[in-house]
Amino acid sequence: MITLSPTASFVAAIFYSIFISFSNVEVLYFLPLAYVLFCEYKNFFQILKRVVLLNIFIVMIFIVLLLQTSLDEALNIYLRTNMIIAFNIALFFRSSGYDIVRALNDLRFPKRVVSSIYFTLKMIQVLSDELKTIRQTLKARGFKANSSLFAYETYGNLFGHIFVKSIRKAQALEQTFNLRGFHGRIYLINTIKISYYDLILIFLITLIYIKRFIV
Amino acid sequence: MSCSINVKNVSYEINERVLFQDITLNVSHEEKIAIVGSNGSGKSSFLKIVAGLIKPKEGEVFLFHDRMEKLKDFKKYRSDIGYLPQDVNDFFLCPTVIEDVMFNLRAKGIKKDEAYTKAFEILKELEIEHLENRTIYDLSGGEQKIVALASILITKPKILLLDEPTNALDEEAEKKIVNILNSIKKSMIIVSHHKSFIESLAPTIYRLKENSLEKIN
Repeated sequence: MITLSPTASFVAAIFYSIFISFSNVEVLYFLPLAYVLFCEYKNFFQILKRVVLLNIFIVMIFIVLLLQTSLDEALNIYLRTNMIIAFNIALFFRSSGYDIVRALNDLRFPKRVVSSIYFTLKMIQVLSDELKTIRQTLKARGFKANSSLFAYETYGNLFGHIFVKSIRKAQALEQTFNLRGFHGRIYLINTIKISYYDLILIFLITLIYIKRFIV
Repeated sequence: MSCSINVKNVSYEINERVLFQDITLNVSHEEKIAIVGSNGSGKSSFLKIVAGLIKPKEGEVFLFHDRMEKLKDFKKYRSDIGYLPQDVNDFFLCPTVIEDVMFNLRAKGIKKDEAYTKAFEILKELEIEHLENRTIYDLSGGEQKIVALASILITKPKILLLDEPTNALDEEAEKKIVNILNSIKKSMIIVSHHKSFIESLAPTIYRLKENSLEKIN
């Protein structure tokens, strides 16, 4: 499997998404998407599964558009939405999230932005781990989701639990900032190397821009 | 021998529940002491007071004979205090092991290459150099504790405050941490439940019981 650098992926994601958002579908525009799917060929079906899952919502938009505009217009938007989603899912399929922080750091984003995004991701991970633990606990303790008052009370308690946990985590993080002399930035080692595969991706994105604006 | 830490008549309470009262404790230079006690007895809060993370209700804390009146006063001793929290997940500030170990040095303004060399040296010392580029959150609990210790030790602190350093670790990881801590010659306050661990490390043991601190050996 080919690994694309987070920096190139981040840049490609932004430029491709913006481009597709404002263009009508053409066959050439599928090229970058096909390339990233080729890079992730081993995970192709898992990517497809996620895209299909998201299509539950996209189909709703398609139906609304179909009622309001023409079939061509609705189909165009449906395809473009899927292209953007599939492209981004394929690009970041193996990313842990922290790669994006590294990419932002590499692209010389302000240090405070980089560290804020890093700590946001860290908090999301902590809370999602907490949610997983809670779900397992509910299973282990024989909780059955239904529409009883008890079930709603339990959900309320769990929401409160996660809320308190997030406040405590934030306080602990603040204490760590004090302890470790944090002053607004984290220090990352630049380990990202641009490969030929990244260059091909950037070339394909550039190609569709040239096709649209120059040729 | 000169004292690194003096705690005088310190009291602390949470939500009007008194955790401890009138506690006095002196820790000499390179002395290792341990505090044991039941859950909720206030061991961790006591350690946080010494680390300057929370304010006691009453009493005084002296670090190197310097009175710490406000939490701000601890600022100048920050790099002299190495505090390991109970949940080390709260301790990490960077995604990979080497970056986190380097953090304190870089925050002090030390150049990247120099910080890297020093960080790698400490990883080697603690025999975890193979974890260098691993994402911290993918490590096991034991590995995370040793990485946190590396991040603390890199600043060469004079005082180590360790809150349950072997909590939820297997025997092998515990042994490794004991060896590391035994080789360190610094003033140390260790809070733990593990009796065998405490006995192998600290010659002086205190128990926090019924709001007060009593020496048990």
